[in-house]
Order: sequence, then structure tokens, then C-alpha cells
Amino acid sequence: MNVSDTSPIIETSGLSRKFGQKLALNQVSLKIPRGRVFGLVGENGAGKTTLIKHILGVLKAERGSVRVFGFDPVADPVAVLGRIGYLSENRDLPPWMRVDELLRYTQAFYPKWDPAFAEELRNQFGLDPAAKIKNLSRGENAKAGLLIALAFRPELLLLDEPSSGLDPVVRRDILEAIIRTVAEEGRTVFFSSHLLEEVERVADDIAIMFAGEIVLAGTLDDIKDNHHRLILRFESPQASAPKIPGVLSLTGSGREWTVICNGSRAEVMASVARAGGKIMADDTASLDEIFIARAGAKNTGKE
Amino acid sequence: MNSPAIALTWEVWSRHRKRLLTVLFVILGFALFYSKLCAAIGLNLDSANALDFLAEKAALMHGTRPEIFQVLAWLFFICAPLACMVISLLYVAWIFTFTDLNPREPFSFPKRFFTLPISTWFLASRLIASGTAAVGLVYLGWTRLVHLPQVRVFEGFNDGLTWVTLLILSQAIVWSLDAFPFTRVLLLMVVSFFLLVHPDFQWYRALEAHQLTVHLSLIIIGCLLAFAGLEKIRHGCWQRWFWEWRFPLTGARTELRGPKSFRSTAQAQFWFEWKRHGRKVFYTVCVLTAVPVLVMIPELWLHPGAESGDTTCGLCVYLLAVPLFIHFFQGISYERTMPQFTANRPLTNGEIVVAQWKVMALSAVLSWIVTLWLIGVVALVGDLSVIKATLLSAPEYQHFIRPLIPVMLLGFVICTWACGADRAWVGVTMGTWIHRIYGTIIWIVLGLGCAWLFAVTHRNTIFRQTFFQILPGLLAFLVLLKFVLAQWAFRAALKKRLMARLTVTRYLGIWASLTVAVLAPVVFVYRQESGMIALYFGILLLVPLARIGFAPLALERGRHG
Repeated sequence: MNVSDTSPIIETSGLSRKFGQKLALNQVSLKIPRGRVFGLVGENGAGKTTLIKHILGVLKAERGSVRVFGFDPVADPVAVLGRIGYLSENRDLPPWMRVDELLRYTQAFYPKWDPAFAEELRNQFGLDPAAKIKNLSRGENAKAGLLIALAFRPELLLLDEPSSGLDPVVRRDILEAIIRTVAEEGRTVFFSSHLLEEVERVADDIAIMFAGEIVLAGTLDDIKDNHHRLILRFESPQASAPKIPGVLSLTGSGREWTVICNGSRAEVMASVARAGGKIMADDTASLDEIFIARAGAKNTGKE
Repeated sequence: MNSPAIALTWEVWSRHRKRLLTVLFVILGFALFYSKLCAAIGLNLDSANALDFLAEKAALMHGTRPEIFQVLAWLFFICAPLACMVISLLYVAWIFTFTDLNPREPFSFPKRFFTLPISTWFLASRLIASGTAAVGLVYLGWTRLVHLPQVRVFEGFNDGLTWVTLLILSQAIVWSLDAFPFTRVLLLMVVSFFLLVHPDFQWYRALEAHQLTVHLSLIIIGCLLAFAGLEKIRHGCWQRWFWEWRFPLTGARTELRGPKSFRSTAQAQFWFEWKRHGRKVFYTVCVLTAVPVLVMIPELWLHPGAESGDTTCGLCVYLLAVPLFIHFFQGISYERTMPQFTANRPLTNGEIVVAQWKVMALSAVLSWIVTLWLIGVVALVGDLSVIKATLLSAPEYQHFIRPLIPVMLLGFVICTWACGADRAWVGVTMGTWIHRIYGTIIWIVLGLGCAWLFAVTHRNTIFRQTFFQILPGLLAFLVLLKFVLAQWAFRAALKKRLMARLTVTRYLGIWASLTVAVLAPVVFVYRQESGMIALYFGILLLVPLARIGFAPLALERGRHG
């Protein structure tokens, strides 16, 4: 199958999955272009890992479809998995292996494995080649997983909660540097995280998942440009949250209230004026605030 | 739950209730049916030594036409309840060593107990007491409810105090050697063997008058060691025993070994599967066969006597059973889901399956090489009088079985391989229709086996005549079913691109070669005998075919949820 460079590297369409009665993924449709860093954010149980497992072909789509490099990952595991470097959230490396065995074993599956690069990364991560995986700390385990995911310079780097277990220094200096380097080489990074600051620092595109659904997706710049944090002041103290249509979240008490809204600011301003308030400040909302506002809006049924 | 003791007991019960209930049902099954079955086949359970009874019966047959299968069936009926009793008691003892099945720390004591506000002494004493009660109850169940045959070699099984001592020493060994898994297994084997077959040792007979003192001393030492072991684990000092002895294999390794690089993905996956499953199965067979032989050889050599014939016979039967049983248990072991690390390999399901089957083939072959070598050693050193009296002098042996020994060995290897390799298609399919099919096949095989054993031991009855009349037809139907299922499975696997056409062709070649290698000599030897068609169909069923096609289909389910 010929897949052009402009076609999306990952494409899901109407992807749904149920575990018993729980709807883990609901009509998830995503297109992830090549050469970008894509951050998937969501609270625990939102469906991030389930989506990643579908991309890997570890779960078969119950409804909808998944295409990675233009292939179905369940039907063509070799064509897909041979081009993906994957770091699992569960750090499920075989505990009985030694680090050097893990490297030699993994190397056999990837013709593009770069031994010099692998050795460089091993030194950088400070991993003892004779150490058994089961004796590694959680952080070292994550580093070993990252090493085998990177050493063959995959076209797609798929990281499930990569920061989990890494200390802040490693997270900032190594992980983020690696992600940026991979992206600069024209390859694609897809990573999930609930550390929104981290996503904000490295991602080009993001998607926010909530209860199995993508509630927001787009480039980080667009999303931030479209969301505003407004500080409102009212003439008299408000006993309860003022009713302002079109806002995602409203917090505060008395006379001063903070609003997170998206889309047309003019409409919000008109609504605020009708409610008897004034806009005192207008800032760009942080990703953290956007996420909380979106999750809250989803919970209260505003979306 | 008002007290920690009740909470601990509840945890043991809730974690292992299925296993404990299985043990209970097995005991009840034997209690209800075993003595009736033995009476029906003419096996005298009141004989002072069941093996003597067997030899007498075999000698009586020599006047007419002895049926070697009848003797073998009696031997099976004698050994079956004893084997089940030993397995169930060892199983309950293992449950109360309280080792975790956490893959990161396999068979180590669960550390979470040390975060509970209970003293180590409380924990150790409750686990020892509840273990003793459970082992005692299971022992009483076997000895009081089931009419067990008496076998002199296995007299040690009929001693409740021995089982309690074994439980406490097992707890002591497991807890105090938490950091040395291989040393632990070795020591457990040696201790179990010494305790369970002690009546055979001359030096033990000298101590027979002081049995109670010996056992109580061992129990006290075991309790103290168990407590000290738990205390060490609790405070993270599990490696710091003053003697610091460990078996060399468990030592830390700093140098690198193994191939520098793998030539192919198939070679890498084979290595992975061997390290993950194959070597464990092979090492288990080695330990379970070598330790008893090493322990018994000096005794057989130094003290040859009237009873060493029984010991040799028992040891040979045990050695023949070990590879098959260990591979069978490997075959039925399962994981809820396929480990993600394996599922993420850029390999087709067929390639993963082929690696697993190759590993099990290697393990089966190596296991049988070791086992046969050890049987050879036992035959050289031991006393073969009982085996000769019951089996080797029978005309069936001389005319038919002897020329077919290499073929039978090949059959054993194939059977062992097939048992172990079943894991490839049932290992990750728990609770699915595939697992139910496998369960059905096992029940069919067990049912047919029992019916056959009953028929060969129960002469001149309508059951025997009817059974042997319908057996060829039944087996022919199973052969046909096997081919139909194999064709369906291979077509489905090829259609879904789970297996390469070349792999299928190669395996069909292997299947045909193995089947011919077993079938042709049997047909040649039995060419002038009538009524052998059932045996030929049985051989066609022996070499696995359909499951080779089913394995990648089953794996697909396990791999892709």
C-alpha cells in the first residue's frame, strides 16, 4: 500500500469500545499528521490508554476503524508495529531479562536499529547492562522502555504516560528534549499525559479526552487563542453563580468572578453586561484551566 | 471481620477457594467411586503391599495369555489416588507458604502484609497454625474417607505428622530463602523427598523408635526459622543470613552472555520463549527427576534388599510420569491477557506460535533425554526383579512392545510436546469458547482413558465387548473431526494472514513424517494381529494437527482483545 507523506499517520474514525457496560471509547475520530508532536490529555479512566491500544492493534475496534500508516494494525501487525516505538504506561518489560539482553532481543525485530545510538542512550540514562529489569527502579524501567522505543528511530513514537516514574529533571531535560528532537527529524510523536504543563511545553497538537470522547482537538496555539479567561466584577455581591450563557466555567464569589469561555468574546461580553457585570481583565487561559473548564462543562452537561 | 486472624484466614480462603474446593471434590470423588471401581476390576485394596499383589496377578497370567495392559491399568489404579493425595497435600502446603504470583517478584512473600499493624510473630504463627489445620484436614480426608491401597514404598504418605513437618519446613525454607529462588526449590525437593520416602532409608529405620521426637524437633526448628525468615523479609534483610550460602545459579551475574545478536526475528523470539517458559519447564523436570534419583541411588547401591525391587519400580514409574505431567501443567497454565510486551512485537501470530511450539519441542526432547538417562542409571544400580516379574517377562512385551520401544519413546515425546504446547492456543483465551473446546477435549481424552482402563481390567463383560466394538468407530469419527477442524483452522489462519503458506506446508510435512514414523512400525509389528484398527486411529490422533491451525486464531483473540 502506498501512503503519501501528506496522509495522516494515524486516523481513527467513529472508534468505539465497550468493556462490559462501560463505554471506554465513544465515536473517537482523529487525524494525526506526520512530523507533529501530538499530546493526548485526559483524567484517569478517560480512555487514553484504550485509544493507544487500538492504535497498536492490541485492541480490536468494536465499531469504527483505525488506520496507522494506512494499515489496519490488527490485520497487519508487522507493517505497523515495525515502525512504532512504544513506551507502555505499565512498564511491562520482562522482569527476568537483563538490560543488555533486552537490547539485543529488541534489536532483532527492527532492521533500522542503531546500536551506537542505543549505546549512547544507555549511557545517557545510566543503565547498567548487566542489571535485571526486575531490579530496576520505576524510573530506570521507564528509561529502559524509552531506550528500546527510540533506538531504531521509529517513524511514530507512541508514549503512554511517559513521565510516570521519571523525576522532574529527567522529565524536563531528557524526555522533552527527545520528543523535540524526534519531531525536528520529521518523525511523529503521540503521547498521553495528565501533566498538562508538560503537554503545553512540547505538544504541537492536542486532544482532550473525557469519558471516552474527544471533547476538544486542534493545534495548541488555536486552542489557546480561542479560550479566554475573563475576570468579571458585579455592582452588587452575587449570592450564587450568575447565569451567563456560553461560558465553560464560572468560579468566584461575591462581586468578583472568573470565567473561562471560548469562541466569540462579543457574545460573552453582551451576556455579562445583561447580567450587570463588567470585564476587568481578559487573558489567555492556560491549558490546565481549559481542561478543567471542559471537563466541568462535560460533567454539568453544558457541552 | 473483627480480628486480624479472621481477616488473614478470609484472605487465604478467598484467594484460593477454587483450588481448595477442587481438592475437596477430588477427595469426595475418590471416596465415592474408587473402592467400587477397584472391586469391579478385581484389585484387592486390602493387600499389605499392592505391588506384591500386582506381581502375583501377573505371575498367574503367565500360564494363559497375559495382558500387559491389564497389569499397567492396575498399576495406574494403584498409583492414581496416591498421586492425587500427594499433589493435593503439596498444593495445600504451597498455598500456606503464602507466596505471591506477582510476576515482578514471583513466589516471594507479599510485602503488603508488613504494612499491617500486626507483629511478625502473629503473622508467622497464624500462617503456620492455619496451614497445619488445612494440611491436617486434607490428610484426614484422604486417609479416613478414601480406601487407599497400601504401597510399601509410599508408606511415608500415610503419616500425618510427616505432612505437618513438611508444611512447616516448607514455610521455613520459602520464607528464609526469599532471595535465593533456585536454592529454595532444590532444598524443598530434597526435604520433601527425604521426608516422604523415609521408610526406604536404612538410617531412618534406626531412628524409627524416636519418630515423634525427630518430627517435633524438626517442627520447632522449622517454626523458629520461619519466624526468623519473615522477620528478615519484613526488615529488608532477606539477603543477610550469617552463613550467606547460595546455590551458584542464583548468584548475581555481572558478565554478559548469550548471542551477541540474533540472526533473525524467529531466532530472537525462540530465545525469548525459551527463557520465558521453556527453560523453566525443562529445569523443573530436571530437578524433579534428578533429586529423587540422586537421593535414592546410594540407598539402592549400599542396601540392596528384598524391598529395593519395589523402590526401583516406583522410581521408574515416577520418572516416566514427570515430563508428561510437568508439560501438561505448563499446557493448561494461562494468562488472562497476552503480555503487552509480547503483543507489541512486530511479528505475526503465526510466528509467535511457531516459536512457542519449537520451544516446547526442545523442552520435551531434552526432558526425555534426561529422564531416560536417569532411568538407565536407576536400572543399572537398582533391582529390576519386580519390573521383570510384572512386565518384562510377559509375551506381549517380548513380541510386540520390545520392538516398538523406540516408537513408544517417540510417542511419549510427541505427547509431552503436544501437552506443553497447548499453552499456545489456550494460554491467553481463558473464559472464551476456545478454552471451553480445550476443556471438552481433555474431558473426552480422560473419559476415553478411564473407559479403556476399565475395559482392559474388567474381563468378559458386556461393557468390555461393547466398548471394544464401538471404539474403532468412535476413534474414526474423532480422526475425521480432527481433519475437518484442521482444514477449517488452517484455511481461516491463512485467510486472516496469521500464518504463512510455507509455515503451513512445512508443518503438514512434519505432521506426516511423525505420524508415519510412529504408525509404520506399529502396523508392521502388529500386521498379523486382528482388531488393531483402534490403535492405528489412536496414533493418527496422537500427533497434533488441528490445534496448530487453531493456535494463531486463539492468539489473535488474546492479542487483540
